[in-house]
Amino acid sequence: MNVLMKNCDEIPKLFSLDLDQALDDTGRSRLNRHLTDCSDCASLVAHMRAVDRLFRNAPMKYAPLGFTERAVTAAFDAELRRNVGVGLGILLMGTVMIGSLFLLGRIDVLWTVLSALVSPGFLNSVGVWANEALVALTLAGGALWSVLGVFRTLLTGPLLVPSLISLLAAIFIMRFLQRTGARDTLSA
Amino acid sequence: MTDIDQEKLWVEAALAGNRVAFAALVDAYKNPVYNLCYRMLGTSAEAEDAAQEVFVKLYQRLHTYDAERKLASWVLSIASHHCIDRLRRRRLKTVDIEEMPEWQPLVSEKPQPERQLLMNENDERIQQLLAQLEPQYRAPLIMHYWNDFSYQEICDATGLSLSAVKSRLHRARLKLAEVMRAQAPDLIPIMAASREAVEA
Repeated sequence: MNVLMKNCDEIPKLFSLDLDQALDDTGRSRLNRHLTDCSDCASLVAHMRAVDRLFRNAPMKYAPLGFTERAVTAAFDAELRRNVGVGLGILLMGTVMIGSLFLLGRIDVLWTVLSALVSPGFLNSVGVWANEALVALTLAGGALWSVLGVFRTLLTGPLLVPSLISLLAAIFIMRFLQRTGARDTLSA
Repeated sequence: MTDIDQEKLWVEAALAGNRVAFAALVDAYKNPVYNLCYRMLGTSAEAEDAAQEVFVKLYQRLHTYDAERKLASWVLSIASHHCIDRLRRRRLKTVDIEEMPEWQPLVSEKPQPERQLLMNENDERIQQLLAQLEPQYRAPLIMHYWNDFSYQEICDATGLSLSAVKSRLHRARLKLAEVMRAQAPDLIPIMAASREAVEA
């Protein structure tokens, strides 16, 4: 064995390849020559073969009954929880943004954006001229298209409910502020 | 329609939120995933939990699936990484060779009941042997033996290079052979007798 010691290290690797039928003829003959002369490697290889047979004959473990339904339910529930979390996050962000605009006294920004979304005729109410209205419509159209893109993503799929809640909350706040503003005007 | 086409349709439908399509995907892969989890983790209860978590992850990552890739490789990739993560979290305490029970395969005169007993015994032995391996060595071995994965498919599922896969398989086998030899140096004749008992 000592004479062959330098080859002993490569024997498990060669035999492993041989087990997978990935060893070429040269390698196989080198392996066989070595195993004929080295009893230690022959013993090791015999145990490797035993491991291989043991594993090859081992049956597949099957998933328990009802697993599919449980896994599908778990996946959909987890997805719903995640989407509700995202939806609530969006709602919170929207509330913070509206609150910030209100505190900064720039609620008109929100009013303009929401008006563009929910009241197509708002441009007439602010009395702009036809050319300016055309330019404004083009700009608003571009902005609307982008916003609609975002809303289309939000309004389809499991985000529908939180998105609608967010939108309704925004509309409600807008209308509330509109009425408050009108009342203040009347009072003045 | 081929199985691959069918799977692609299931993936597309599941992405659109179709529960039935996702159930079909789970049904197609539940056994390979459960088997991998069981072989990696060692107990039925933990395997079921882990397999379920794998399908939750799979559903959440379905939009990242590359249709050019073999679905089985992708699914088992998620499963093996999940099990390795679980084992890391658990900080598996490896069993010392001396702590392992002696291998004493049963030789029976009554084939049928004993055959089952022998299969259970062998299965337990397999789990004890697998527990001797580091998780990253277990996964390629399991994919190779139970899923008939080629070297290339194991590369796809594990993200390892071809030479790394060959190396891990040979090191795993070497380690297991050494464990087996340390426990039962004269194992080979006993195993042959056991096999004959199974085949009888």
